[in-house]
Amino acid sequence: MPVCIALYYLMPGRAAKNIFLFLASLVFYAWGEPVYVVLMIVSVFANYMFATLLGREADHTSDRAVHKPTKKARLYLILDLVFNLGVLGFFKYEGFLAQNLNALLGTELIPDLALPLPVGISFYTLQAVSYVIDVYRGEVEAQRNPLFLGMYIACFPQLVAGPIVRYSTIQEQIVNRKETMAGFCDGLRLFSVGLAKKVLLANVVAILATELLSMQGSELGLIGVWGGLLAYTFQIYFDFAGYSDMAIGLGRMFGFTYLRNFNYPYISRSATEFWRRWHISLGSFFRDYVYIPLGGNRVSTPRWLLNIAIVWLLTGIWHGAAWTFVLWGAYYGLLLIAEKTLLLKLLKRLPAFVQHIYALLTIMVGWLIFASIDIGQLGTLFAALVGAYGLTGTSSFAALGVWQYLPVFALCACASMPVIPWIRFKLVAWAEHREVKGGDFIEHDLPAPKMLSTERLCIFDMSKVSDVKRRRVLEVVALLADICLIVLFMCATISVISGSFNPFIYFRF
Amino acid sequence: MLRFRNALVFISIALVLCVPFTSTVLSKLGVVFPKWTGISEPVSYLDGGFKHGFPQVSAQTITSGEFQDNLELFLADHVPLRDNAVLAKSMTEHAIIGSMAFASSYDWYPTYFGSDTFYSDQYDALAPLPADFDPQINAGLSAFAENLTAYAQAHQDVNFYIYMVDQFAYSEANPLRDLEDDLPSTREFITLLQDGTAGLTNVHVTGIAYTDVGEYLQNYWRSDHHWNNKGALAAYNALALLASKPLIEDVEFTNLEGIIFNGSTARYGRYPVDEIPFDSTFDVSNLEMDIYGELPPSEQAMAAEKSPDEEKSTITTPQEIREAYLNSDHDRFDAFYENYYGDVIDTLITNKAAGTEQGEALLVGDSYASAIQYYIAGQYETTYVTYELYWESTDTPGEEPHTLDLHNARDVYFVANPADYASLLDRFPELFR
Repeated sequence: MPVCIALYYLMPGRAAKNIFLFLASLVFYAWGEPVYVVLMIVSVFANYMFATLLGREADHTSDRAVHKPTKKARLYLILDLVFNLGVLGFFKYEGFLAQNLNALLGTELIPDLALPLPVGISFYTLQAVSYVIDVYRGEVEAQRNPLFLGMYIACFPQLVAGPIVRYSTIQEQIVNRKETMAGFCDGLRLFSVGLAKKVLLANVVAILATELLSMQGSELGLIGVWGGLLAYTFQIYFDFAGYSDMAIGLGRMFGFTYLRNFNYPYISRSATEFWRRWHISLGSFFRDYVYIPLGGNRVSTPRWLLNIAIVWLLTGIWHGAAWTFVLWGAYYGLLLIAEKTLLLKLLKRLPAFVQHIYALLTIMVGWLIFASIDIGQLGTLFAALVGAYGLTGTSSFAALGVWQYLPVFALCACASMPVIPWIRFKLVAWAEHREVKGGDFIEHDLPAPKMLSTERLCIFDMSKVSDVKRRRVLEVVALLADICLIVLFMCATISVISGSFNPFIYFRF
Repeated sequence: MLRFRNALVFISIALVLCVPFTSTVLSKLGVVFPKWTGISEPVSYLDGGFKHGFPQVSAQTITSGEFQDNLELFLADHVPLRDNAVLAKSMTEHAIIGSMAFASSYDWYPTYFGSDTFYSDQYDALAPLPADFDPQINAGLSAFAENLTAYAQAHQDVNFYIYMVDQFAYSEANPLRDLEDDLPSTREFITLLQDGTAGLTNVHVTGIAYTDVGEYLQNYWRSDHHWNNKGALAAYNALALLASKPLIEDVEFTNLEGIIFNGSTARYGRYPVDEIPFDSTFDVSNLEMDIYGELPPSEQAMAAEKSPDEEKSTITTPQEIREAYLNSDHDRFDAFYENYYGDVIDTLITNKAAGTEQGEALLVGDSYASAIQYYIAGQYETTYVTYELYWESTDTPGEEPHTLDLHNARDVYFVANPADYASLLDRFPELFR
């Protein structure tokens, strides 16, 4: 990484920097996927070709203000979708399809090729699809330089685990971004936070989650399954959010400003709110490219329900080729329909903490489906979840090991709430002699659902503080916070070099 | 102030990120770093082996990902103070778990999150998780018994003494056995060999199967999977009873001051307990060793590193081996056990105080034999020690397979742990030919 950043800044001019970033991304990808890098290059040039053809069609449209794609444009779009979804489907779902179809027919109709899934294919395919659809819709212009497009599709910071960056978000930045020392350091701060989330929190609870959730419910009992589930709940959040923070931070170091991908999802009061805060880039992709084109909620009730069902089945299967993921998608589809039609109204009448408990329970049940190895194991885990196998199943309390992780759980619980931003918010308000009301922080500061900008992450905004003494206090606090970040970064580095348990949970994405 | 903070963050993180790369390049250029940094040290004592060399670059290693994996290991090895950092991490985790263990009144608890090694404050000792039932161990032991039976029947004039070492992973004294059910035990393995060789008057199977953890830790190192001198002596006495040899009871044990020992369990568990090793006052001054065999693979590179330009001395004494170790520099994680006792290799030990009537013995062992070999050798005029039971040893493809060379021995001792017995015939299929 240091070599890559140093060489990037040595590159003269924007074009050279972009091309270098593309090549560096290919090297990064090839480091982990030496063979499938060819697939990535093919994907870049195929999408470049289709988008260019779509762009030419758009140029031929007489009235660009009322964008109406031509038949040819529609054909190009269909061909591009067939290509992208075909590649994704072949590598990701061939085995799943073969196993199920062959089992259903009782004969080997399709061979199970057992292909290893190219890392990040689900993410970069969605990025490419969103770009081509946006060109088709006339919302963005086709990129004329294939290497620049390659940089967008293959850009290494977000390649492996997202966020799914829309072309429209960085279209301008491709040629007009400006790298600054302040932006670079903000990126470093965010990267450090992300690395700490991944290495110091996610990887630690992952040890317990991996061990317990690979067992049957009868071995775990109530304590074992809840302990494993809690560990997994924290693992998947800190792993995913950690990668996103690192990606956004690295992007910032290269001058890009991405949007937020996670916004404290575990403070939600409903599953609906959870999905506004969890993997935001994926939710908005399915909303803008599937749900709304299907008619969204401006259709008859049965059609609306069908639209939701389609979106959630696709969301489920996107996460992995297994029935548990299909079930997970169906679970959220049903839950969101129930919330939108009835539950949300009821929930709003209940105290806030009850809503939080409801949300956390529904989210955790979702993760149980998500984390299960297969439907059979899921059944036993559910039974254990409601106490069918007693407190500890066939294991002893000591052997389950949940007790070892209680301090880590407490730390994770604090870290999954906006505690630090709240302290910062209070401090800045105090320094500005500004009174704050109860809901100001949640509604207008970082945890606000519409706060998608990443500009204010890891920043102590003192621009409105005029009281010199209080400003000094803020500066000292900010300095201490930076020292804490440096220590966290060093601890995370130590953990990495010590070869600690480091699971890669996106191998099925 | 913001500029200062930015500079602080930038410089600090850049330093952390760049140091491994820079130190790697500088060491490649021949720069020697101070010993305390660990960068220029060829070995990682904590990992118990050599550091990774620069990986081989080829199309095959790159496309398979082997080059990338090995380069990451190579770079990680060049991080200054790496071993200290790794220890600091595990000690922090250990403290967190320890606080919860204290609250839960658990005496034994993992040395770090996910560790298979547990620590006890009461005993200041480490214990591995018990080994799960492995049908291959039972099958391997049965095969060993079957082959030995045939061999012993063909050599009625030779007595075979089989000692099964009570390794902590299989010992009934392991306090962690409560965590799991249906675990195999040393006692079962001893019975299996006894049953497998039943009816033979020239095969004697024994082993001390401890049941009390306190007693076990009196006889085995607290930080290592090996037995200490007391354990080795107890094993010798158990064998001596069967072989009608004199018991050794009039020895004392003295601490080896200035040495701190943290063995394999401490290394795997990333937790030092800093034992002070001890030795018995058993007189070895009459023993002379002629090392005529090849060093085991793990030892060859180490020996070449230690004295690349010197010719290997083949005649030595137990005292010389011990003094060579005691007079050298020590790391708290270095391999005291194998360096102090001398590793098990093809050796002829001559007892200058013995007469020809005391005859010849053969000791086939794994690393446990190192500590017991002098007690046995003290009872014979000559004792051959061979290393076939050592877990790393195996027949070399294309070369003549190993067969058991009895020399003129009438007493043959086997000393090893269950897994080494079980894998012996896989590694040396022709041994009992």
